Amino acid sequence: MTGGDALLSRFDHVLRAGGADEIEISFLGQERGTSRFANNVLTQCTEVAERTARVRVALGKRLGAAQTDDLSPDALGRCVRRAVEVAAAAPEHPDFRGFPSAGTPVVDLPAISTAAPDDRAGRLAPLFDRARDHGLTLAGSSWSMVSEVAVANSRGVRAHALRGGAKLEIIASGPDSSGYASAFAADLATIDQASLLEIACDKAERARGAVSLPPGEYDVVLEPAALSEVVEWLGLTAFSAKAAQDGMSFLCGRIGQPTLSESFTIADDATAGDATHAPIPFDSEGVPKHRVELVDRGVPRGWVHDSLSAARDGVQSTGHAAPLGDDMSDGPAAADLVVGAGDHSLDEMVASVDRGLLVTRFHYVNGLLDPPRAMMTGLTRDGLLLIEGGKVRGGVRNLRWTQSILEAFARIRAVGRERRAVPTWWSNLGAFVCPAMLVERWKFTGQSR
Amino acid sequence: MRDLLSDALNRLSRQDGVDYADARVVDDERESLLCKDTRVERHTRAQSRGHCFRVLYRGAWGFAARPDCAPADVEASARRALEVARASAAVNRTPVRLCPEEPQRGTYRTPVLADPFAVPTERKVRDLLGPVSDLSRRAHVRTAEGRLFFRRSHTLLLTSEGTDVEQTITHGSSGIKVIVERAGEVQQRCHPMDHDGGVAQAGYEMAEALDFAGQTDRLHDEALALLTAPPCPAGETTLILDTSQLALQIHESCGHPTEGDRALGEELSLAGGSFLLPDLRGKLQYGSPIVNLTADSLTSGGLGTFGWDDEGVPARRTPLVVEGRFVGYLTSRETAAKLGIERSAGACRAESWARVPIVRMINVSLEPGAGSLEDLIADTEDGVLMGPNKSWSIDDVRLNFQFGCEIAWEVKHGRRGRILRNPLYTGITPEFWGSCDRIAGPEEFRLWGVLHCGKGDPMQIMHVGHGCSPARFRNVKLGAAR
Repeated sequence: MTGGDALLSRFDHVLRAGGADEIEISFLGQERGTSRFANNVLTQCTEVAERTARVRVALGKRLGAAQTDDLSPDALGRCVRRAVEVAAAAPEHPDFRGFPSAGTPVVDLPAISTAAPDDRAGRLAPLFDRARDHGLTLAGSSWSMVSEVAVANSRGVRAHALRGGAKLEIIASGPDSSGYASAFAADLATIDQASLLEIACDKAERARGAVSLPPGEYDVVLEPAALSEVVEWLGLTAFSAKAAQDGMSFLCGRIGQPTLSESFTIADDATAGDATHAPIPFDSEGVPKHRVELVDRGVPRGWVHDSLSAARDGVQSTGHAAPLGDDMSDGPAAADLVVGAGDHSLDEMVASVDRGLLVTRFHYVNGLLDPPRAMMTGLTRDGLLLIEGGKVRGGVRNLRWTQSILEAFARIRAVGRERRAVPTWWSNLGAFVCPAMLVERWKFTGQSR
Repeated sequence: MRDLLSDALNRLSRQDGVDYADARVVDDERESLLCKDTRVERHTRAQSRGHCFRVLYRGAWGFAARPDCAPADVEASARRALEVARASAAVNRTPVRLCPEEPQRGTYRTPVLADPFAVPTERKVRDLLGPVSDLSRRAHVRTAEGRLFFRRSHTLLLTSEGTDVEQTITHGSSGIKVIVERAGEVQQRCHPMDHDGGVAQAGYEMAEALDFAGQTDRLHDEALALLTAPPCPAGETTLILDTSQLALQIHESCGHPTEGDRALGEELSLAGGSFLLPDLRGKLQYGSPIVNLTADSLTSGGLGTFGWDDEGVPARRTPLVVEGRFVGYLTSRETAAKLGIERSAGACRAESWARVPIVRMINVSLEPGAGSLEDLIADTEDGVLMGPNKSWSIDDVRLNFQFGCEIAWEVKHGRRGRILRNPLYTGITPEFWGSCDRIAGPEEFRLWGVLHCGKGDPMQIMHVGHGCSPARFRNVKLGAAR
């Protein structure tokens, strides 16, 4: 990692050299070590250092941008000139009010170095042995990473942060079943891998000899990993100002109107971090991330903004400009979603279900069927278990579901009191904090294997 | 850089226990333009350069990559890759073997008529913003947008076996979309396809050929028609897929399940497995006898076209499904050896210098049959014609799929009828392909592609090609996405 002082002084040099009416430099650097495994063998082990600096310039209200991973003064100077060429060809942007102004604090979070390759490999070896004892094979990945983010602009913004992150993900597979467990933490050494292994193996063993259930409506207890997949798609299709301004968000026309269950509250809140999950506290424009109430006790409240979308709506940026490297978001991104906790344990929720399903995780959810109605489809994966008489019975073959999440989340019966940070698969910088949730009459529309 | 890389590779290869090593350096240039209504929402030029080493030490892999390319950085990457491999070798019990491949030498370059990075920026903005602005001013339009993307990557690959190849690949994509709204109903139409738009390995001529200005009237008319169209009726019927949707059907239900690493269970931690297990190769009836699916990296203009893959295997053609029978996999040298296949399919690709090459699609295409799309419609008594794609989902072994499309047309008595909104269809892969009873001919064949195929950990976004002609499927379960 380069370090805040070194990075920001380098960027100051570029800003002083000028070349445009306004200049902004946004930086993302990451060092990540990954050990992937399958069939109780390490398959892909990698050590990667990456970085990118994006220069945005304004010529009046005309905008252009250029990126480079070369931080030399010459390269950054070329980057400014290339951004100026791009801006010169653009019409004036009607929503541009200038890059965000000074006032963003420089924040440094405690940094943690990545685990060494032999440390990661050594931690995994006993898991493979234990899985063999269960008659199971393991697939998954273990990674640790340090991210460095910095923003500086000609209006005085200076922001820098370092963050450590780690994840262990395990899929235990038997002849006809599988089970999943994962954990996210600031440091790989703090993950209780033995407990995760037991959870994944227990799920796989319980799911053996899975039966087929016909499609239909079943009460479901969604574990945090399952709920996070749905929440992720709500983030993409509903909670961004882009979705709202395009008329594609289910929030459009429903602000202030009771729409979902009173048990459902969701916010984007990078200030809600804890020891396992410490979000970067400012966005790629250097604006501090504010807590944004998206749905409060079933009532839609708003969406997240970057500076351009905020100007379009005549409000202030909420600090949600998409992180560098996020190719999924065309505009502001809700990358730190937090679902409000309830007051039930997972066991209590299961015990309250007469006949239903315990869902470990979903697979391949897609929320583009009809976004204004939050229509989504997806499948279950790695541990779909039947609940009968309040007890978890055997496994069920995977099912497809298709339904409006608006309708489904109006039928929330209970929300878990314990929450877990689940990292997004599309960005290394965001994670969703989710509890378990009991939803009545989830609509399953097809069978898989 | 060549000498630096070569020297470091030679030193690495001479280390005790090293079975194989390779080194890549990639210079990458990108341009991305997003126009929205009457404004340029985002326009970025990006450059990236970095290198990586991959080493097989006592049968275990290690990989390291970094952006700096000074002598000390190159040496450090080589050393790090070896450390990673040594750590893996201490845990693994079964050594990796590679199937044989002759050392390669040469160059490959995308034939480009108009260098997209030399086309004046003003012209690119004008060409895209013009039709988008036009659409944005029309009745009931909520928003209109257009995208343009180009990438050129220059790669040098050296291996310890003597391969020394250089490639310069240029590809791009572009598309426009309009979203209309009336009385609470929202619909969209795009050209030629949503998400990535039209794609090709080519220069700026690719974008010019899309003729956006000539499409705006049709897009607007069809989008308005969708606002009041009846929903696509649910039930089993005959389905005709246009090429844009069929390309994604091929991608999800043939391309991914024939990836050798998925079949071996090595992708379970992210993308999932495959129902096409190794013992089914040569035995499973995947589709009807008219279904022939092929992987190749030779087709001109495909996103999966190149001279060599990222471990130096030359471009080649591999049948995946022949007369409906599953016969082949997309493989790397490692997965081919594990699957007992003599040679790699040349499908080992990396997103960038910062990613390890893994099994990816190249161009996975459906061989054409005979006749035109209009012949296909004329030959259909009762059915639905669908496309292009709007949503996609398939299970973790690639059996149960569901696709939503932007628009559908009723087909009655051999004629295209009224428009239907929010269509979707669902099925089980071998049953669906088993119901394919007619494929249009070469004159309808079109090469599409997917620019954002995600796989791997860390995530790798790959560009892959799919060619097909429209095809007909019987007894498909349809529904409306509402």
